[in-house]
Amino acid sequence: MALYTFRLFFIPIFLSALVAEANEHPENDVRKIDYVLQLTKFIQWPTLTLAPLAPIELCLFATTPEQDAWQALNLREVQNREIHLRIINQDSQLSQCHILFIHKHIPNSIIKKNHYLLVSNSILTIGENKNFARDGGIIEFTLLEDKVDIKINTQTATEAKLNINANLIELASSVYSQGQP
Amino acid sequence: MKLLHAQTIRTKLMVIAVTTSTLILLITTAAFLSLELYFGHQDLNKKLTVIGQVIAERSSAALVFRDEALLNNNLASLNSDSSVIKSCIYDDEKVLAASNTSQSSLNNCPQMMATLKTNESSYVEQYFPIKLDNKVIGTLYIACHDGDIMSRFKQVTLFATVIFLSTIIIALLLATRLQRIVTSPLRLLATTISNIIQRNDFSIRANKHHDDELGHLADIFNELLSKIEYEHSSLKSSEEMFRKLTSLSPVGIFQINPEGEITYVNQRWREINNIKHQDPDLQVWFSNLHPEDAPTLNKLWHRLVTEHEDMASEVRLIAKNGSISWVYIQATSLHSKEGKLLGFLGSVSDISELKKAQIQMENLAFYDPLTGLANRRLFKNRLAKAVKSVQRSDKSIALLFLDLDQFKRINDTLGHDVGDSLLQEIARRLDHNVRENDTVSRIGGDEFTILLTDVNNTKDVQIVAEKILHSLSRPFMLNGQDIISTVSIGITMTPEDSIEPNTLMKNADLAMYRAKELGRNNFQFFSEDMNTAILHNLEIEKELNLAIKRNQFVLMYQPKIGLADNKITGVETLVRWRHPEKGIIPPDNFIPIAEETGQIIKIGAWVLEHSCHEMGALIREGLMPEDSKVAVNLSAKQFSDPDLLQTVLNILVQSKIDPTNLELEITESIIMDDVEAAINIMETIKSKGIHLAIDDFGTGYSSLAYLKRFPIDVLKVDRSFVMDIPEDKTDMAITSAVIAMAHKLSMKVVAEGIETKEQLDFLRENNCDDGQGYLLSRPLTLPQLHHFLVSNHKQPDKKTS
Repeated sequence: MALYTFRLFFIPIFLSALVAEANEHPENDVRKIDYVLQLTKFIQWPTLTLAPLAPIELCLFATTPEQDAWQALNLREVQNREIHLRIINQDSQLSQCHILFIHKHIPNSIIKKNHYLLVSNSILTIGENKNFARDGGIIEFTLLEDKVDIKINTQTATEAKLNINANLIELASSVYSQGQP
Repeated sequence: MKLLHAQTIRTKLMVIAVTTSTLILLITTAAFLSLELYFGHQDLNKKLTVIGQVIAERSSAALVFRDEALLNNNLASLNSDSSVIKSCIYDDEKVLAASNTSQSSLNNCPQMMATLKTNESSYVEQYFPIKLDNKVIGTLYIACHDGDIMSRFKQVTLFATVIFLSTIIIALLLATRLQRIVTSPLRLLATTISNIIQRNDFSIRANKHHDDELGHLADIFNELLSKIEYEHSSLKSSEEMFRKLTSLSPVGIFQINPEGEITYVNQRWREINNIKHQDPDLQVWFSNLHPEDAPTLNKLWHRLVTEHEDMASEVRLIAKNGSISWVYIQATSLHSKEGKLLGFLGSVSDISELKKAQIQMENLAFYDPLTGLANRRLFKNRLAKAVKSVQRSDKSIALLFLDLDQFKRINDTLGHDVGDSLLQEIARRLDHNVRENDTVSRIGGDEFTILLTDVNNTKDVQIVAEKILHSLSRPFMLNGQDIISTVSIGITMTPEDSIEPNTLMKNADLAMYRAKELGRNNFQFFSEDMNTAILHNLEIEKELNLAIKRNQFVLMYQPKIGLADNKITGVETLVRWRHPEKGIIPPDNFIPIAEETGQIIKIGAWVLEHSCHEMGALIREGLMPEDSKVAVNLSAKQFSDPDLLQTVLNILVQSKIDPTNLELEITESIIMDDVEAAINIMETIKSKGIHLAIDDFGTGYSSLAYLKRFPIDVLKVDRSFVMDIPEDKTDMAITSAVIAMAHKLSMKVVAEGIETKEQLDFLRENNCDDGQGYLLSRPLTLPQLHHFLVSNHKQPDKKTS
């Protein structure tokens, strides 16, 4: 209940900040969203979590800015599956996701807090915050000027029974396998 | 190829071996090098493919996320392969994302993939799509050079060349050796053949060095040589044999070449043709031909030469001295297996003797060799021709059939040589008494025929017949003694008697027999009654058959009385034919016919059987003395019947009388037909105890020389001597002499035909043993005989008185 109250309180603040930032570099948002889409291509979910041809549920917290831009991903096809963009506003909705993008404005603690839920549901977490991977996220990426920096926590991915393509791992600048890069 | 054909086997073998080896090696090397090059490129491509695929796979994330460092790093991994010249990664927009080039590379990766130069001949290039999520997100381009492949290819080529050259050298050496292996025995074989040809010696043999095909060839060649040697030897032997045969041959043999030149003649050919020249000339031989034969032989010879038709001909040769000889010449053409004319081979036989014999044979066929007269065949031919000819004119022909009287007796008594001489002399006289166009022939032993043509009447013929009788009546001086020989002639004439040759012959024969019947030494013209007599005889013959079957014969017995004591000594059996219609037929009317037809055998047996049977009964009854005889006449046919003795013996057994009670009477003429045979038969009969008597003695021609050899018991004086007693003193003298002679020869004498007291007295005075005749008793039937004997027993003196 406290958490819920907290969210309601801060959401407008976050949103306003996010909008401001997004409007500041809209091409970056496109790149980011595209990178997320590309990252999805390097991931294999366990069949029990994601049945063949079942759509991939890409979840964004409701506080995530530039949601319109994210809409571009909705119904795009990856691995012969459609991507369904889902906006969630409760943690309980996490179990419906296959990918959870965590905006840089959202603290990494949310990962730790929902670690069990995320892992048990084989949810690929992609975050922008620094140390996101170290803090339990699976893929942390940072947009640089002309490329992207990727860090990967293979331990969490393993716990979540997600299979990350070696090429992607090779690309990663840091790979956390036992909590250490 | 022509050039190769012109080479020796040695060269050919070497050329073929080396060429074959070179070709094979070239092909093999080329294939090997091509494969080397091909597989080199294949391997490079495969390697490139594997590397490219790995790099492309590994580069997908780096390309998506624009990680140039990683892309370059991936491409840099290709640097380990020196063949890689350059590698480029282009993104999905075909813009260069990363590149890596070797230092030697002149061209770097262009910014845009579209400007990438490809298909450089020395490069091996490949493009690899970089895929992500089944979508091409970029392209990896890798270019390699084939320097390593080519370098390796050069090394292999060098090595192959060395191997190739080495192999060629080895092949050359082996070919040299091979040709020696093959050609050496062949050269030796050729040398052997050359030696055989030069020395003409087929005993030389090829040496066999190995048991391979060439060794087998040597074996076969030697076998062939053996065969040729054998054939050669056989041919030589055959040729030698031919030479010897031809030299010994009674036939002249000649050989002529296709040019018509005589190439060989044997000695006999020279002898036959009387040509002694060393090289006889065919034309000279032809010039010796008889002018009549030359055209025919020339024609045959021409056909032989032109058409190769075998020829054979009989020709005459005229010798220088003008003598003519007959030769039989045969010739045939000689050809090789291929049909080529080799010449002509022929033979010449001297057939002069043969021709002479042939003419003699022809004479024999138509002429009698003894007399030289025409024989039966020629006579019949001429008779047939004459008959045909005379039908077209008003003239006649006459056929005279002559048979010598008593010729057999002359032959038997004086020998066959005298007989033959007599026939020759008679032939000469006959021929002398006819015209030139008349034909005299001898148609058999003592039978002659004369064909008189152009006869006007019987008078003409009669004159000729009389001339002949007169001519033959003169004695023949043969072998130092005069011989009288007469003939009986039968004459028939056309067209009165017949116009058929066979009938004419038969008519003349009948007439001749009539002449014989009429006492011989005369001629008789044929008359129809002779035919009638023949028909009569045929009827008698037919009826005699029935008479034998129906037992129509009866026996009469004429007693024989001992003149000294008037006692009966025996009987003579006389046969009569009791014809159902014609009554009693005397023996003279049927015995000659039965004799002629052979029926006398059965009749004689019947007479003998019944006579013996009835006489046996009379003896056993005591009516006839135990030593009495039943006399049965034997005819000529019966006498010569080989079964006679057995028949007589069987009858004696059946009738149970002693052989001494049987007396067989044989006429003098029967004995005289074949004296020696008759003596044998008589001796055989006599050996069985049977008595023999000569019937009608004095009518024949038996001489004292024969008479003393005859095993005769009784001599019966013919009635012709008795009947003129006492008027004829000569007959009385003869009868008296015969009785005395018979007694001297230990024979009994029986006089036949005693009819008067004077005759009986005379005979009794001359010591004739027995008498037979009407004075003493007529022939009696069996009952009459029975009565006679009974009466004679009761009044023994009455009868003789």
